[in-house]
Amino acid sequence: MSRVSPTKQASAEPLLRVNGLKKYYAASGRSAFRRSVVKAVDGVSFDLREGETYGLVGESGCGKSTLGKSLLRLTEPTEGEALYRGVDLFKQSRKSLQAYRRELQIVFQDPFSSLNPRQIVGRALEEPLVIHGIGSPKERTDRAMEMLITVGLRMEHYYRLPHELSGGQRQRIGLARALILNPRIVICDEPVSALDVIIQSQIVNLMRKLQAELKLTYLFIAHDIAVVRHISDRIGIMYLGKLVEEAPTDKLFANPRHPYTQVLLSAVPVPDPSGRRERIALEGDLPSPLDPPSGCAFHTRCPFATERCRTETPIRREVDEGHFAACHLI
Amino acid sequence: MSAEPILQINELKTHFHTERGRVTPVDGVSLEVGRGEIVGIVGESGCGKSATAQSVLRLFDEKRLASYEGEIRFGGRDLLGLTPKQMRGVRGNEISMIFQDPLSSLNPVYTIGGQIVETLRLHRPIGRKEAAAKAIELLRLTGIPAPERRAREYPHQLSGGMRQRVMIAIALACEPRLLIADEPTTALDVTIQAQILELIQDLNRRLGMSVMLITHDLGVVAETCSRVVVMYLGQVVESGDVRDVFKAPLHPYTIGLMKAVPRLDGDRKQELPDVPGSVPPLHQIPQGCRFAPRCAFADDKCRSAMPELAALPGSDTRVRCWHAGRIAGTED
Repeated sequence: MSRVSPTKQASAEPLLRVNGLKKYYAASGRSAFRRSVVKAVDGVSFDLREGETYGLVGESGCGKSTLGKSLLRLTEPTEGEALYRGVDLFKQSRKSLQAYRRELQIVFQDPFSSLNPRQIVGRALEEPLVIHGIGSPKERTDRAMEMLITVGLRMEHYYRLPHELSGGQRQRIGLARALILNPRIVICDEPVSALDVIIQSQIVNLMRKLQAELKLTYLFIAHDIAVVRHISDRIGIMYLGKLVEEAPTDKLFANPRHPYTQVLLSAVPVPDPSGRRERIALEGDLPSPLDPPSGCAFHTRCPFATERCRTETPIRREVDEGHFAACHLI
Repeated sequence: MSAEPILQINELKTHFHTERGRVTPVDGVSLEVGRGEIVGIVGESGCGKSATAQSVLRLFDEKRLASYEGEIRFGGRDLLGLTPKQMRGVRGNEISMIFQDPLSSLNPVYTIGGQIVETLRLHRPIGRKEAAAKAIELLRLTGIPAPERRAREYPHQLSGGMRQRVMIAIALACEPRLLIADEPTTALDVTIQAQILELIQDLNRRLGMSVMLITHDLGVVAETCSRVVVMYLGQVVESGDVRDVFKAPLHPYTIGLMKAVPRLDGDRKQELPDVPGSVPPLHQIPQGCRFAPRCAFADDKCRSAMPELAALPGSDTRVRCWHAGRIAGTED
């Protein structure tokens, strides 16, 4: 691959290109003779451009977290490709994948459950360096201390145990641990969902600051569309394993095209009592991914569904520059 | 006496006796819920909003863990003065409560219908058949489709939103005068949350049931409540009409909470303004005003003396801050 400057590369080629990603789980059916399949992620394609934040939004069960984990092969994808700087991560052997894992890191919702309760924070931070065989013990400790400062903690936190930290501090550790290897892409899976609103704003601000300083690219997965809007350059909306709409953030909010996006936006409670609005009421629950509806997966709950929606699966089309939607009615 | 509130809490203190000594998660809380009113209680985790709600029903273990001071007036008597037996007649009957996680509140081995019947027959002298018919009617009231079939199902067969509807049906079984809803939609997706909030508002209007709604989400308060109570570290720091408080919050904590929420119509390029630090643990309560260490307005007075919860002249909003007048712009 020829050497290109990062800015040029951003316009020419995405840092990560996801093509037709599928992740199916086998589920035991009601009868021993019938095996059924859960299509958690069902043919998702998108680009992650260098330096941007791509927000992935959807309700629980839509497959957004599975998608994030599949990209790092924390769960093996069923089909599709993930081209990181032109190299398909899904085709790498376990050993060669190791090198790429340095450049793609992940932050989870609950860092407490990913930290060993009996291990001091500093050791947990150094672990990625040990795994990748980087530096001497002294250098690793220095690097861990440096990371603590970077994420707004103090060096003394190196000696703390996870239970001694607050939720916000633990998420800072989660970030420090992901960033200690100098990754280029950070997959953030609901990083602020478990936090109180003030702490949430502190972490969102920190993530934006780190992104600018360390030139990071984020895949920001969350269900809270207000938070996603605040941090993302582009947003993809997922429903039952599929991307139903994708657009630059301002375009998506100015002109949401897919009925599901419209419903989602209207359901968010607005913190302004004088501005109570009419909601687009949504009937019923998310259908079971074990038995997804035919045609457009959203037709069972869509206020505008027609006969065609029940039978024919809509194809994703560009409805405006950089704005894609999969709906028959557009 | 229609002006008398249905619930009036006066200087309530709830003490927990722990291994590290006594802590007071509810420390002098006064608030009221009017008849037919929905009152929102907001604050971050650890500010005592759930502890206040659970104190109203005296859910804490009074033999070993907890003790109460103050007064909780409901229906002409002080709930803190009732015997355990009298209190059982209040819970689920006159005051009902729903929680964040309906699955852990429902019994997995009994049918949905059976659990509603149990509540009904505990408080009312009615027969099995009549109770079963009432249970189906309640499920229908909360918008559950095919209630006859659902009544025979078990909790695991229902989705999260459906389970919360079942909890509401159980809570409504004895036509309580007050419903305490503790983060009822926090575990739900936003489209399901909208449905449940709609249901609570609808029941409030149709049945005239008062609601105490505990939430951390200011959007939920703005859309469903008529009054709001903001709590910080076991105390009420501000309370008033929802429109007044959202339009002109007076306590620096309320201001901080409101600014920290990203809004769908806000400026994306701006940093979210945040309040430094986090809620301290209960055994490290600061001197003076409890919010002082995190407050941009704090001065020596704030750090030494606790302000009272009081209304400013010409305002209905009550606020616990030495600088409220300056924040409201009525004094320098």
